[in-house]
Amino acid sequence: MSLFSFHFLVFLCALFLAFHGSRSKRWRRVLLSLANLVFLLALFQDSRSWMALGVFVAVSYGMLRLMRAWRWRGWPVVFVTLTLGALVYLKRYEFLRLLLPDGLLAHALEIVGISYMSFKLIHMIVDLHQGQLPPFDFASYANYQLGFFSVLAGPIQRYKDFHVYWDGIDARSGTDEQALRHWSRVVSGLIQLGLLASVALHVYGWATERFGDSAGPASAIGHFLLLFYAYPAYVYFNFSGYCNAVIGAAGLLGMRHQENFDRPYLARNLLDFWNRWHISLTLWIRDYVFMASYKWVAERWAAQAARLGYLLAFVALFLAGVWHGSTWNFAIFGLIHGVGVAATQIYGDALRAVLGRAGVRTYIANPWIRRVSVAGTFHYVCFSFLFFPPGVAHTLDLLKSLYSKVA
Amino acid sequence: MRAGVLLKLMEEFERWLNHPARLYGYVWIKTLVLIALLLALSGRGGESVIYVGF
Repeated sequence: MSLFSFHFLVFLCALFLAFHGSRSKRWRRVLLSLANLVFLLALFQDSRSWMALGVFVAVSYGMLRLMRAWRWRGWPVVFVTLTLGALVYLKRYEFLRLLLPDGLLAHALEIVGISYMSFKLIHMIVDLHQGQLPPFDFASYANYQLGFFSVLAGPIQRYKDFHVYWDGIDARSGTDEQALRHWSRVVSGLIQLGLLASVALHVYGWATERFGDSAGPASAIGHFLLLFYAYPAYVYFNFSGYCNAVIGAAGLLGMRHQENFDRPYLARNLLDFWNRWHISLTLWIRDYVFMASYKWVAERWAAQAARLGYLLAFVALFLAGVWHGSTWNFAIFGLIHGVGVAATQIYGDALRAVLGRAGVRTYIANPWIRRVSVAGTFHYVCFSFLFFPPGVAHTLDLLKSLYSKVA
Repeated sequence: MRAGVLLKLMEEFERWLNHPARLYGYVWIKTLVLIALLLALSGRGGESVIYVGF
């Protein structure tokens, strides 16, 4: 089911009325489970993908039950490795072609939301191991993993937040004004997704085509700038529009989702950008990649921990980039962001060492430095988005072509 | 006009629109705009979510 459709609006209105028609806990849980099932039925077309999804949910639930029943220190390593292995295999990462025969990678399975479900599962494995996971059963786990508010493209919800909702689902209500505000957010999100993102994508396509045909340097630069800015606009409107729609939809059923965007193109450095862009992913990477690896390093090499921290920041953001897709272009996207974040940290530490705390405060408060920082970060991010569409060769040809037309 | 001032003005306008006294009418108009868009654009692409986690 496409979000930008009458079907989705009717589905949401019917669900809202049925949900608030009764305050019975059982009724609301059954209704939400059915809604998730209907949404998934409309997404999956072939039976093999359905079976793969069923196996993923059942096996992952079994892993969690095993961990809960039988305490063993090695479980997290075994299960996280298994989850990542399944993710890499199912997404058919291009580097696997260097390691595995083509026949093994020729499967046709495509599980919608597999990346997000894997992240949620790893979060549950780690939190369960640390004794921080609230109680779960199959119904709560399946609805957490397959909730239509987040299965498609996040936000990456934490189980603790879902448990609070699931446990008190019968107490969820709201005023008419709150419902109107949630609906308003759904509508705004769909307009962003269906209109603004669509226009930005068309501009990008048009500019890319014209850039290839442009004869003089002025025309080439003009069309290049248009495509350079249009694609980041498309990605932003598309993804933040989707997030607004699902956060608003969840709000209509009394569920609070974490915000996923906070005006990211006004960030003053790359670190700030990732605190404003796909926030739930950044927090996941921070907690389960950066902090976990930093703790491990600090316990072994305390004296070098600060310097190794730069490397770990690079690795964390590189992995965040690679997670976006299975093709080589996302490795370059991750590389650009990893370098940017590590450089931001090095620069920040150098500033503190040279200027001192008071000096850094003055530096940050300077409006001209802020403007230059925001503009610089924005253009760095726009450059990284040149590598977002699949096909590294296409992007490199584009850059070579720009050089030859201008030089 | 400076970008900061423009942003501030947009925020003020959004706040003005979202005032409880105007909210009902504002949301109705937005919903009608969305319905018109759905009628005009549905199925023409651009609506698929780029970040779908396949």
